[in-house]
Amino acid sequence: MFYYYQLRNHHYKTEALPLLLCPLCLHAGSVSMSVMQKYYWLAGPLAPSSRYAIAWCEHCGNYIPKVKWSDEMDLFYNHLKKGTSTPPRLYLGLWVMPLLTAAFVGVLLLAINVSNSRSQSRAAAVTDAVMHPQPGTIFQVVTTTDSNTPLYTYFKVDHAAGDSLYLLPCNVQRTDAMDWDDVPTAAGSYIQPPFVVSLPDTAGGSSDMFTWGSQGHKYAIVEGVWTEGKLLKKY
Amino acid sequence: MAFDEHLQRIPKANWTDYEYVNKGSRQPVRVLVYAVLFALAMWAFALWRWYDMDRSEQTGSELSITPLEWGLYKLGGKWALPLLFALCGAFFIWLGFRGYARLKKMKES
Ligand SMILES: [Zn+2]
Repeated sequence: MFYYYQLRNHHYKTEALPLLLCPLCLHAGSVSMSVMQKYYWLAGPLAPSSRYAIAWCEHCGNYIPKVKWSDEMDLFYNHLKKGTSTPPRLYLGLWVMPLLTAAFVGVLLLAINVSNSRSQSRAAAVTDAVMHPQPGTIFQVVTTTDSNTPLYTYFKVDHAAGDSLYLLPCNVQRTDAMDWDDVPTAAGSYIQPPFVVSLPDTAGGSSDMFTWGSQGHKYAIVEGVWTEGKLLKKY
Repeated sequence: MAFDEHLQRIPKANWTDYEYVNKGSRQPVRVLVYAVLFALAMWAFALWRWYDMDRSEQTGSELSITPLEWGLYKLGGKWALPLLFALCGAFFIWLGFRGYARLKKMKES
């Protein structure tokens, strides 16, 4: 992740230091020094960096390169620095950024939770429709062809009798899930006579699966339920 | 003098030449040391990514990479990213040498 931040400068103090000798022109009494501190800025102060100083000579008009600083200048710099304390506002980001991050993560987790519980309640409604089939309900199912490729189609409930469920196959069968949600609702789309499947065995944990044929070698997984003009999807 | 006036008087590109942080600021070689450390880190990263991608190619094992790495991998195979980082590292060392030479000249003038 990239943050676009700025480096800003906080100015503490500028003082003339008459005791110092300019290392460039060797003139005495003309050196001044500013103590400053960089801090990171992103819409507000984030965190302070190290303190530093720049020095210049009023006599020769030069800024003094850091590599030319004398021991005495270092001494005065440390003395000037001692009298400064970093303003608390420069640390603002160290408090605010973690809080913002925590808030962001919290909102994200909440959103995931809400969408999870929504999809869970949808899945429960689909399971309920499978376990208590009403005549006229259309199941959106994925099954397999004889050559074992996936087939996206629909089964309409004709009637239920005991543990057996009578379903009408659909004449719309798709090889991909692209237009799968356009559920054919016309009565003519479903082929008589019904075939019989066993109601799913909830104890087995696969509650949204129909099996039929000898030894249940054919199966279909319910992905959605169309009832009263509305398609309810599991996911 | 206010800080803003300093900003205008010192050319921005050379600003760090005048920033005195502590005694170490006086050593021109410091900038070179930082550059070398940075380059070493980049080379280590390059080596690590190359090693991972090489192993993934050899064994066919899965490796999750960033979109940037994937783009580079498509362009130039497993060598593209390490090479890019290695060149970046070399570039930093060159910058370090240049800074070192400039500061050394300044110190001796
Ligand atoms: Zn001077």
